Amino acid sequence: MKSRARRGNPKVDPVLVSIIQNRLDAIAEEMAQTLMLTSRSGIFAEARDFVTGLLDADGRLLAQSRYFPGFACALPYIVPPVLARYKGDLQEGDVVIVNDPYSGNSHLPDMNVLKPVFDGGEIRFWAVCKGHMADIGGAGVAGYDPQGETVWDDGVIVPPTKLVAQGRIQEEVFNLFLRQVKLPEIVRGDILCQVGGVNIGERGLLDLIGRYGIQCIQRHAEAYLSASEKSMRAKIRSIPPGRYPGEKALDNDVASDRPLKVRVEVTVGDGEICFDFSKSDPQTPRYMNSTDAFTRSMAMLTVFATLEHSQSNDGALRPFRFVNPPGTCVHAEFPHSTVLATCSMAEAVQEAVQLALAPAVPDKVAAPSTKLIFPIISYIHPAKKRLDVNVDFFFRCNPSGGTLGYDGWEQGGPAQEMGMGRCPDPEIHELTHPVRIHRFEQAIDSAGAGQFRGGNGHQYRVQHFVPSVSAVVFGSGTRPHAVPLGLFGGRSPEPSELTIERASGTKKVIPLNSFFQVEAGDIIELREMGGPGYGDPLERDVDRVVRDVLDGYLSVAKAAEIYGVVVDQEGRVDHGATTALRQELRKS
Amino acid sequence: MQWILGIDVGGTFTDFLEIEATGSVEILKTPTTPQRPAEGVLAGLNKLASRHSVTLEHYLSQVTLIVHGTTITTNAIITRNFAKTAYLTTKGFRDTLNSRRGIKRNAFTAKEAPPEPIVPQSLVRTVEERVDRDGKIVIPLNEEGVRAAAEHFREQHVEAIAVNYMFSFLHPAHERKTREILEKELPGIFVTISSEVLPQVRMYERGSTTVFNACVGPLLRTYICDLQRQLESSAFRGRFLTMQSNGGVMSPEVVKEFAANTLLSGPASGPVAASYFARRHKLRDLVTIDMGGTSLDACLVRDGRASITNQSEVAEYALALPSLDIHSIGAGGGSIASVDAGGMLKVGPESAGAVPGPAAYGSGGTKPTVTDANLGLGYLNPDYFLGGERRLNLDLANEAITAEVARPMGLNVVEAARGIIAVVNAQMANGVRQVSIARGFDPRDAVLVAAGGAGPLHACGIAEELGMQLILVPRTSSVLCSTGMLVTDLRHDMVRFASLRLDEPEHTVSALNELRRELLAHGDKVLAEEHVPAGRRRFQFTCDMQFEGQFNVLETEVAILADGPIRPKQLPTLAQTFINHHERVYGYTLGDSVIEIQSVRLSAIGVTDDPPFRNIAMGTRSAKAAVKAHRRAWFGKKALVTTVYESSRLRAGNEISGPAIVEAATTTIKVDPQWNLKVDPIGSYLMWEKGTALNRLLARFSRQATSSSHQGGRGAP
Repeated sequence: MKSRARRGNPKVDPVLVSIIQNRLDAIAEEMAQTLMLTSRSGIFAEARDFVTGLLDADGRLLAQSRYFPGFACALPYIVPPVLARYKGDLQEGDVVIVNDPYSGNSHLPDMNVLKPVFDGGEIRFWAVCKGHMADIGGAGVAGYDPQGETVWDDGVIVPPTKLVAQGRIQEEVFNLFLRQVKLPEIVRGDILCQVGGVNIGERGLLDLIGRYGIQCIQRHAEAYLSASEKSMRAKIRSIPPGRYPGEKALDNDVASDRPLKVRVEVTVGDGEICFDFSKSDPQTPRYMNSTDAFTRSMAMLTVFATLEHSQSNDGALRPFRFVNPPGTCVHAEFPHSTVLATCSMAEAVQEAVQLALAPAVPDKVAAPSTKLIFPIISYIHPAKKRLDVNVDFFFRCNPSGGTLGYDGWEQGGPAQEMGMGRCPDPEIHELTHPVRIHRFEQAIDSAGAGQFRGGNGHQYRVQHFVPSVSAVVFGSGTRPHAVPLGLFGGRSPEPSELTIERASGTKKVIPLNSFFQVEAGDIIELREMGGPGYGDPLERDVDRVVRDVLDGYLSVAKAAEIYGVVVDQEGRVDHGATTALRQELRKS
Repeated sequence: MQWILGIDVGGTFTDFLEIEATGSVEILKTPTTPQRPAEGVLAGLNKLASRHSVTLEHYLSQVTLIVHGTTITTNAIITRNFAKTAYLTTKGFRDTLNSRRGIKRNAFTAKEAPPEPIVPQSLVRTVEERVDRDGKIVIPLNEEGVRAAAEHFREQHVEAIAVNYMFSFLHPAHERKTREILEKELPGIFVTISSEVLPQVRMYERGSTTVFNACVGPLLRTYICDLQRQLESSAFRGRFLTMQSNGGVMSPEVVKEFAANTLLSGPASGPVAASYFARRHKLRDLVTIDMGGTSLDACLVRDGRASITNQSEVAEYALALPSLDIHSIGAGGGSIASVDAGGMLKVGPESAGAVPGPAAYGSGGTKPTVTDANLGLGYLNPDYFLGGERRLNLDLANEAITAEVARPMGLNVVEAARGIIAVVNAQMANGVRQVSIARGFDPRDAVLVAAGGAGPLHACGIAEELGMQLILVPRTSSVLCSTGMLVTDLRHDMVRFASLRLDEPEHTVSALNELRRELLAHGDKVLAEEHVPAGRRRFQFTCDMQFEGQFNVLETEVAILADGPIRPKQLPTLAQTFINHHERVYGYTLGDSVIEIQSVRLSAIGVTDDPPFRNIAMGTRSAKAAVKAHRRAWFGKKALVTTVYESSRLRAGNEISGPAIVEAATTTIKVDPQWNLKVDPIGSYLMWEKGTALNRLLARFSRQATSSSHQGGRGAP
């Protein structure tokens, strides 16, 4: 690189700063491609429930891919426990795995795979992949056990452990671990594909070191981290300073029928934000709790999304402070279970922060996302003659809420995914599992109304031809207090409903956070809530109302009743009647 | 006299490349006539005829081959000027098409609208019918339902219909019956069914591809019929072929049914032409870059063949037909440089476009672009841009760079301009990594082929960034696409769903051989219909493979299938081929797992003759005769007096030592101080790093074609 240095600072070339940042981003993306394209579970391939990143020797985040946004700010918490365990005992070619929620992780199914990258005999970087395993053992299904009370019930706890030592895979360790999980083939493949990911990361980093030298990279990385910090602080200054409280309840705490509440106070100062979660409900003796690391990640992600900031690195994280004492449902203490940290609790944390920020930045905030309701069913696969687990992502469309200027997305994905998931393919799903999909369509009149409506909810009917070995459903959002709130006059949706229809014709609701049984021929149906609306429905553009009617997403009756638009099935509008009706509805 | 013609119908201009049997070359540009594109083509043909002082009839009677590429389908999508199209699918799956699997561009904002649908949701209808995963009919087709849908489509004045049923690739009877009913109910309407367009698994991707085929089908059919009729009525008796997205060409009969094959054909002939010029030096592993005003197209060519992908997007909808794996990034001459809130220098993806264009155009643009930086550093000639058609204003360029980049960053104007070039070069290098390293190929083992108006200016910088040692700038680099059309082969890609496991060797071998026989018969038939002699038919097999349980497949070439029926003892070779490919691309393997073959693909190729390009005049080693000026240009920290050469006066064998600039009417080649340039016999330029011998580099990078390598299809010319 021949560009000249900045005046007054002979060591930093401002052009090289951009170039090195670009290159680190590109390496993180190459790692992600390996995970996405070679995984054995739809969790990576379709839901993209993983993230890849590069950190410096001290665990400061330098670059990361943008797959599972919930992890956007989670990686920095994972390196310190690994360093504490192995300080001075790491060699070239080592790869460490860890999933212990109390070692900077979220929940047991999220496996972290870390590779130290050496130059001149010293660790210079960490290449890290974090991704959700198809199973992690334990008494539940795929790691989800609504009756579990501690982290021991949830599955195998892996403290920081060398899976690969100096390039040699530690088969004894691997076998010991794989013997504890119920889908060893899939889990083995997905851990190895994460090892492939960190190898790709190492390859890219060594190439970069060879080209620029380590000191040069470190110096320039420092400069772009400062630039990111500056840019994040500038964006935070667009929020009026003040204290903004927000809270959100889950259906219940699973142990009892008491709603479980997250409470946050967001204090916006001059270019900085402090989140105080200390008034949240105490930790529950069931799996609803979150870890400190993941609560922080979700809170920061919510601000990133609201301020449209996509680059996560150590600099962008510097403006955030936390008051999050242990013992609450958003900072559980060992050995509490934290399985739903990345699911229902993440959604509640995000909604609490969104509701707090709404009055401060009404033009930027989005109405919250819908709540995930997710059945997982294990069964004996008739062709493979062994246990398989049907993780069915058709249940996970999760329409998002409206925001100023835009309707919500029909397949926004749960809050922590921010639309980065990908809906599965119905043919691949039927080829993979013994099921038949009877219907997968958006339902009429399901969206929360608003000037900018929420995404439409789906109706999903799927028939199972093989009985379950065990089946579980987790989630929230079946109670009125747990649905996402519409903003500024936008309506909240009706709660979701999950039912099972027996071959005999009986149909019953499957209660949330419980085990249930599937018989051959049963049809499971989700009537999914739509996203909440933003703004008064009477202000909605008449053309948008007409288009929803023509597209089959809004009934003529609801068009009049909620939106005050008098329109027929062919889309012909009676403008005079519409003006009159809207006036009348505004009065009432 | 006899001629062959390459005609590239672009959005603004139609390019003609005419090659006479003796090898002399004519180049012509005429305006495209978007309303009736055939007229623009005829107008150009008339001009060419008058250049030879003959009538159009006389001229066309002597033309033996016209290969033409058209972006009219692509432009129809961009301008949303396509047939009003309906979509008919299986009951229960109404939203599969327009949900687009929920893909959102950016996670970190809620303020994003989905793309405007190709088929409005109100023109989506469903029909009761169902085939299951084993290809069995579990719900018979409700023919009344099809008629009811036809009635709705008639009322809505639909012009084209795409039909896509669940698992139709396993049992196409329902789709075929549906087409029969629709054609009867709605005579003259263009109906296309997914089991013919793309018989493979994945409902959204197959449906979206079928929709594309429907919505541009009527338009392309009209255009091709129109042009064919006019050519024939003007005494044209030669072959008339059309460029496809996969880098091959096809006959009019095939085009009329498979219009979607042309959607990404615009840049597809570039890498093919690049391979042709590289073959002259037996160079077979290339990275091609084509840098224009708004974007850079990068493509990997391995063993003389450009990589192919089955996962493209057009207007944010999936197009799953094979097309050249061209990676586009928003970095071109018009890309805008800016400094963000954190003080970081960014270039692109925003572009100043043609209007207002770079600040130096003086058309009101105040934002500095890559072209402004190139001008500021002395690489571009303000009086000879686009052959002198446009004058560039150096003061305006420097003002824009100073205001928008230099001042905010505390740099002087030259440092800022150099920064813009360094950043855009690094971004382009990342684009090249996407098509090479990310596909398991080290770019240092390849030759960089640089084309387009801006490509040869940045070639040395990109090559240095990637450690590439040899650069080729092809002759006719500015009309590279029309050249590509004349060197490409007839090519048809076919796919069959297989679902085979290598741990069931007997079944797999017999099923593979059956699919092989069926695909070969089909490929042979299509080529025979295109009058390709048997001796010129070539066949390449690839398989979409995965380790058991993986969700995505990796397309892997299986050369042994092309050689003959597979034998059971060859299965380990097949497995190892896949394992090696997987290791290279993804950094690990699952070697002890069962390997599955999801689909088998065949490319049926009809090898055509190479055009008889004539060599340019030989010269001595010295290029003195071509010197046209000297000017100061910035290299590193110094402004060096740099020799400027006129490209049309260069002779074969001339050598130039950097720093130097070679100016042609439509492109500028910058030779950095550490680089040399040599003119090859056909008029292409080779550039290599000083301190190495060109012959040694050529020997290192060149190799003989392996037996299975085609697409170009031929050995070195």
